[in-house]
Amino acid sequence: MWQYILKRLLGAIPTLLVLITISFFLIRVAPGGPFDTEKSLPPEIQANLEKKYHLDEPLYQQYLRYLGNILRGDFGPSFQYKDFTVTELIAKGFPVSLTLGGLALLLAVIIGVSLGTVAAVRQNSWVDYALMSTAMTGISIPNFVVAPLLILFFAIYLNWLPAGGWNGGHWLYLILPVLALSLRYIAYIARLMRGSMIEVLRSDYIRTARAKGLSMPKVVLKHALKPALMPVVSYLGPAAAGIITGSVVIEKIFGVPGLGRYFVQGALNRDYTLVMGVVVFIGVLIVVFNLIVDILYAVLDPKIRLQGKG
Amino acid sequence: MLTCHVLLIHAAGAQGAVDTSTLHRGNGGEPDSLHIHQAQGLNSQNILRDICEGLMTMDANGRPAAGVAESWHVSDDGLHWTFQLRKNARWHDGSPVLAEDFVRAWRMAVTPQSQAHQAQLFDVLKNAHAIRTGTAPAEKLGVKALSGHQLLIQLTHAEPMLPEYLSLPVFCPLPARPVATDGSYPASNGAYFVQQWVPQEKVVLQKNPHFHAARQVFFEHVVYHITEEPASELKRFRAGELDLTETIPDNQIDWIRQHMPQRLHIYPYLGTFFLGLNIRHPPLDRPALREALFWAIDRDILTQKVLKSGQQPAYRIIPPAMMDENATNTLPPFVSRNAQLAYARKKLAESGVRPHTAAPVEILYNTSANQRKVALAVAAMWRQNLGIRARLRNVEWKVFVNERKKPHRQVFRSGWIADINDPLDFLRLFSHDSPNNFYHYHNPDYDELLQRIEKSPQSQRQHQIRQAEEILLRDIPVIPLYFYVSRHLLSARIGGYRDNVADRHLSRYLYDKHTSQPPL
Repeated sequence: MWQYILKRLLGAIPTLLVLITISFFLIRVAPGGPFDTEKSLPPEIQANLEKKYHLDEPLYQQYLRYLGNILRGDFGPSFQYKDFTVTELIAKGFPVSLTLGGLALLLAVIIGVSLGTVAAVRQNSWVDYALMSTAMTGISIPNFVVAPLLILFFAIYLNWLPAGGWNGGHWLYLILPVLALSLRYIAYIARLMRGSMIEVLRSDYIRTARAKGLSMPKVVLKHALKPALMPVVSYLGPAAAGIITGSVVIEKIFGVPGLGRYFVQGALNRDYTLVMGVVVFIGVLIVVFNLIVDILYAVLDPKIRLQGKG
Repeated sequence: MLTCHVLLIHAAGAQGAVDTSTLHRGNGGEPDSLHIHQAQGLNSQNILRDICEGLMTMDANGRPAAGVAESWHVSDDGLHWTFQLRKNARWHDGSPVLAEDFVRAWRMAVTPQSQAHQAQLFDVLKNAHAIRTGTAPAEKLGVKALSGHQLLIQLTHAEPMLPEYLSLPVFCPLPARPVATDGSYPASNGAYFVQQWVPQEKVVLQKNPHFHAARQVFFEHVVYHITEEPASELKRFRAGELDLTETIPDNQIDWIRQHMPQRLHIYPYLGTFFLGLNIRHPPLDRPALREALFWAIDRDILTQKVLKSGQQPAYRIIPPAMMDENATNTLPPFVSRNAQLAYARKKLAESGVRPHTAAPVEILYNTSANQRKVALAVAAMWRQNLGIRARLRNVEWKVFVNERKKPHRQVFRSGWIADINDPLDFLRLFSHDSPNNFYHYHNPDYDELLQRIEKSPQSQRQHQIRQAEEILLRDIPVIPLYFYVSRHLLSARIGGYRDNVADRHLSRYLYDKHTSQPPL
């Protein structure tokens, strides 16, 4: 097992190197620089700034310097948010995104799996139709529509919950963003779960279990749930990496200080170091989550042997 | 449902939902820095005005007022200003603010290595430009501590607007050593100091007990919330979480006017939106065509039907709010819209441009719903009134900032917001050596007049400024469309707020009407 993990992690190094190289040169190709602003800076100040951030050096030299810095764990200073280093920004933003995303994911899995299972067991009944039409609506309605509606209802009309802010992750401030973020995932997981559960319920061993007189809930919980979760788990890997690294829309609407906004703002501001820092960080997370999913596969399905992979 | 409701209400109560000693302000995007030399954006400047105080500060009406300086004396030639500093001006650790703190900060600002983004504002000080460009040492800067509480400033020319400059955060002092709190926040000599900064969420300020006017400061805490999304900011205001918003969402103005007109504050601002013209590029090198394009645009439709956010139609470049009260906005010969159109068509005929055979004029703008609306309306008006076709091109902001400098572009969105309440700030934009003259405008007469204004006493300036503006309106390097306005929503509980053209509202002047009388 440990040998497998080590092998996978070492195998990720070339992937990350390609990711860093492509991102580094792509962001530099984009027109405009970090210090191009509405009011032009006097040339001597512009020159000083470029010198400070080594932007006056040839691009290959900047690239090598950046690689060297990354090896030392230094993502450099942010060009836009001058009072912080990129590492500080990620260190402050990631726990917020992790809390928000983690809770949303947890909620999505619990509700999504339950709804999907119920719909599968009651296949083609009104329960199934009602749940799946709700799920389809959930998938189709984007975050930027759901979130303001939730705020309008719960924060403005009912005045039960805050309309925005984070307040150190106080639970009241978590409810609306977690709900808004999870709705889509709930819907998606419910549909996935329903499909795979129906397939599993039709298999021979389930029929055998039913023939032996086991009750439906017992069959579902003891025999069908585990194999039916496989597609959900494979979906969860990349979904988890995406959801816990922050959602730009949710963060902007609720004023949540997560990581997601840095990605977009960094690119728009040509904040080269910030964009690169976030890209590398998310890249590493995706590698790690894919690895966790593969390990989970083995836990759920004994037929899969880790040693035989990779 | 009921249980849920009770639980939530209880939790909200436990949190202390209404805290009268805290002011909650929406502040737009994340501040780029809270260091006086590194900060650029307006959202940084708002906070800096609360946490630092220069020789001058701003009063509640946004006008310069005595800050750390108690009194000052100007020499007869206007070149030497001697400031007497308050003995009770203190850093937030209680140590005194000394003349040397200003000398140190200003020398640092002009030193090339410090990369201060607004260092050029110091050019009014003797030798500042030479130091900035690396040809003189920082010690040569025209500022000297005569004693612990007396400061002498030497200028390159008599500058009546110096108090305006000195009220900008970049002219604040810096302490000899970082003030001991946890060391990560800038030292403060203003009414507040930074208590907490959570990037992308909020900056929390705490009242500075050593501030010389601390007794008149009402709020114990000020929270600047990051409100990047105006629509979300409005919702937070409606939910009672914000006392003052940074702006309002453009598409909600009608709703706000209908439902909360008393909370809405729209006021003239020190900015003008105009279309920049590359006057070296054919066919825009023909002055008659530029004049035709100028008059073919119906600014009333643009401001009242298209933008609908209180902007004022602009026929001039300098906002009327910056000039004297009698300043008019409309040019004399044209009264009615029909007369304007007739004149535009006459000028088009004079220019020799045949609209139906001429290539379309390109209008370049940055991606934004408002910019798109303006560009579409202008293109439609040119087409309808003159038959001139326009091609719209929108690009992302950073691309736009670069593109507007390129020689091939023709018409592009432009505008200016003055750093200080001085019409010259607008006029300098069109001097041939201005880094912001993207119009390739070069008129030696204009440059010469500008230099004369810089040296003129205040009494003659007004007339000369109008003269310079007339030259611009004749040459038309830009087509002014509208004057900017500031737009805020203010909670009913807040007192002490005064609308002002500089749109500066220091938290120290605001108070809670329900628990306090106006601070003395």
